[in-house]
Amino acid sequence: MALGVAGGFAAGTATALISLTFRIGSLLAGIIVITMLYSVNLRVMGRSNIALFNYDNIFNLIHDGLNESLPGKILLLAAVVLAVIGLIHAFLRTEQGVAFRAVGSNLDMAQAQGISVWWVTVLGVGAAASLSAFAGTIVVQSQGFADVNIGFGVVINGLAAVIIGELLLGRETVLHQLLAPVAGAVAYYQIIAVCLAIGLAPTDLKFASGALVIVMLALPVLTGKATRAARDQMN
Amino acid sequence: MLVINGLRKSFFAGTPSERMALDGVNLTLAEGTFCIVIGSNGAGKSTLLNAIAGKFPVGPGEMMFDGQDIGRMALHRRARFIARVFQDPMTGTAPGMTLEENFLLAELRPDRRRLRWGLTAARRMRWRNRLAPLGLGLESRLGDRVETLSGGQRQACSLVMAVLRQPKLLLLDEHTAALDPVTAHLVMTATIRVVGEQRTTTLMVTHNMRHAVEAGDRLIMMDAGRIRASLDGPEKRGITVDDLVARFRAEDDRVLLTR
Repeated sequence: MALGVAGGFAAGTATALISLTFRIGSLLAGIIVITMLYSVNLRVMGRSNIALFNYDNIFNLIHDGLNESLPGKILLLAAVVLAVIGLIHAFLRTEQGVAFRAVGSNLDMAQAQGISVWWVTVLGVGAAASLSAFAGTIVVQSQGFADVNIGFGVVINGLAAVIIGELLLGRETVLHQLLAPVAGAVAYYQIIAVCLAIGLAPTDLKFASGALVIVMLALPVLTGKATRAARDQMN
Repeated sequence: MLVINGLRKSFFAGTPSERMALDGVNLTLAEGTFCIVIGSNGAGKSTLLNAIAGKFPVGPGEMMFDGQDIGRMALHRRARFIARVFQDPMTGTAPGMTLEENFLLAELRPDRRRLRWGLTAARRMRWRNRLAPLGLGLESRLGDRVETLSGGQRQACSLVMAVLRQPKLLLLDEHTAALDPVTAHLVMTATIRVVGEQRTTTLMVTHNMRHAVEAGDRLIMMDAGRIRASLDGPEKRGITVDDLVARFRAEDDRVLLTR
């Protein structure tokens, strides 16, 4: 697992470095690196799918039989998620952490306060990618196999989770902003489960996810909030 | 403290739109001087301030700060000893963050940031004491997000934040230009007070002739990328707005005649 996280960190820092050094837009740099990682993954795995059923995983190592208990797994993962959020929240209240937030908020001002935007970007993207990798290590242990294609289109899932979460919890405080994607992810997968229950085939899910994201993003326009907000805005 | 020799800066070099924004600036700024910079639009005042702050590389020419060549030093590293207040109140504060978080950013401007709690009771107390003299009630709004503050309030905060850690050099780039007359007067009064308290070496760009007369102990006039005139000490302090405008026009004419 540690290797997985380290790999994620390497990928994240590489993306940031490519973006900063060669002046490639961050979105494009990310897409390029993800595409390159597909080949890297195949090299590391040796083939496109590896069954992990016969190996020990964190669930079994923590408590025998945990792997078979769904409530047990949920509890463990909830604890892990809360611990990670707690760590991030604590970090964002340190001197360094507030500097990270400043870079996201107002880049020019952050630089004028002596913050190295370069360092913050590299470390920030690296940390974000590490978290994704960490999630990946848990997913493959939970589902019992690793497949080179499970990452395909997951960006839409993530986007849906973030948007639904923001609708549910808002962005009042940093804690709200940290918890929102979690709530959103849970809600999103429940919606997906509903879609399956009403008869959609698993292969239709990518379409359903995309449609859901469009609806979520279009809500302000659809409910007339966008025009109201534009009228109310002071600056 | 600040010695600039033959500084030049052109934009879009090698293209038809090439512009020589700084055309050989020579300036020696002694420590503790409050220097006003005036000039017509396009004279190069903001470019000079941006060059000192490190927003872009400059050349040829040299820029020495306390004997050290800072010409190639990155902006965020110069920010350790140079503080700025921008014209746009929105640029000087970080939206989405509270007033105290913004103050924390300013508090740590010269330091290496560490992994320890940023917002402490001691720091909050210090910031309240620096905000109270403004008379705007901001000392009780540390927990508010900066978007809830008006432009004038944000600009006053930016000013206090800039001098929070006694910068070696303070750059004020028309920092009252976007404010209404009453707020501009408030911020200008506060500026004169805080600069005087710490005898901060200051460069202030302004179009407001009254501010140019009321503040500062030195005045330089720029045009077409160069410093054309400089008033010091008693000559600067004794000048009136009418004198200044007349000299401004005279310099303008002289510049036009000699070009």
